[in-house]
Amino acid sequence: MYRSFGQTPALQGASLSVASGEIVAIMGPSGSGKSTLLHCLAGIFEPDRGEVWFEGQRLDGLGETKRTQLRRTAFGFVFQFGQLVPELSAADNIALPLLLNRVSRKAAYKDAASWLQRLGLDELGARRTGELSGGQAQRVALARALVTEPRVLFADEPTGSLDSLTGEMVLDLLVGVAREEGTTVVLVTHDARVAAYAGRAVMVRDGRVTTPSDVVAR
Amino acid sequence: MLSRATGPDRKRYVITDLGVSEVEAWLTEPVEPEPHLQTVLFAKVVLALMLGRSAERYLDTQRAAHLQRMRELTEIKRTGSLVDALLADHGLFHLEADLRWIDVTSARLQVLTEMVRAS
Repeated sequence: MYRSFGQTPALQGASLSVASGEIVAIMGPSGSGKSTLLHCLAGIFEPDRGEVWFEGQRLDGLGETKRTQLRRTAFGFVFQFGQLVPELSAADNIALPLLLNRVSRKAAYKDAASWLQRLGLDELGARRTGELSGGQAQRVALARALVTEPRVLFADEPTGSLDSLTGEMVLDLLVGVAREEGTTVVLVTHDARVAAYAGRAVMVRDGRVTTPSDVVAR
Repeated sequence: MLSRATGPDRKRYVITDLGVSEVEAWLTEPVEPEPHLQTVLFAKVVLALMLGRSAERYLDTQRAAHLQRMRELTEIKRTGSLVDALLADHGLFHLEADLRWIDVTSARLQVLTEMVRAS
């Protein structure tokens, strides 16, 4: 894939395959193109050149409406700062994607309650997300991403704003749930300790994916 | 012995073809990820540059070995007791420090290459 922003090339022939159920970390220095790669894979950006395929369907070239629908139903997203709606409660935030997908209110809030319990947030459903700690808010963001049972979870520095122990707790939950549900995870991080939660890591350098030689297949 | 230089008796040596192969193999093999191996990594990078080899490739290879070891320790943390987690963390922090050195060195390779080859 190739993608530029104005005169600035972000991806210059990046190529990546991810198997179903795999947890892959995309690493690289700041400005290497790793977030752009994630955004292209998730159908948020269209590459200037190249192809993106998901379950036998080509994503690039789909209209925005169809890509939006795919993002709502097949993909989940967790970003560094959660991007929750601070005026809404934790339960409201988690139920929101289901409501947007025209799930009934009763079913949506039942699922939200289930996820609150699963992620250790039972008592916090009614609290506004603006009142939660960083770790609690990020767990709500994770629940919101997973409530639609996405096939792929895209996470861009999901623990970047958290302290070490809280970050590890969030990652433990993310990886644990992904493994239980068979969810594919594409995780962008500059942090090796975060990448170590993935089954495989690839490096992005100057807009290209480089994969270290498989010296550990012993 | 190739030649006798002036002054006291000296022996001069050149590396054999077998020696070249062994150096190549040594450069290619990653060092077992463990604490305090920075001096070996440093030696490999400098030697690779002096021999005109791709130090970046060796750093990438070492990075992969480190990440694999970090994955193993992370799994121990996730599934083991608190004591296991503390021990694993000790290893993880050291490996992380090595990886930071690898990343910084990788970023400086061009300048380092010019310095080594100019000396």
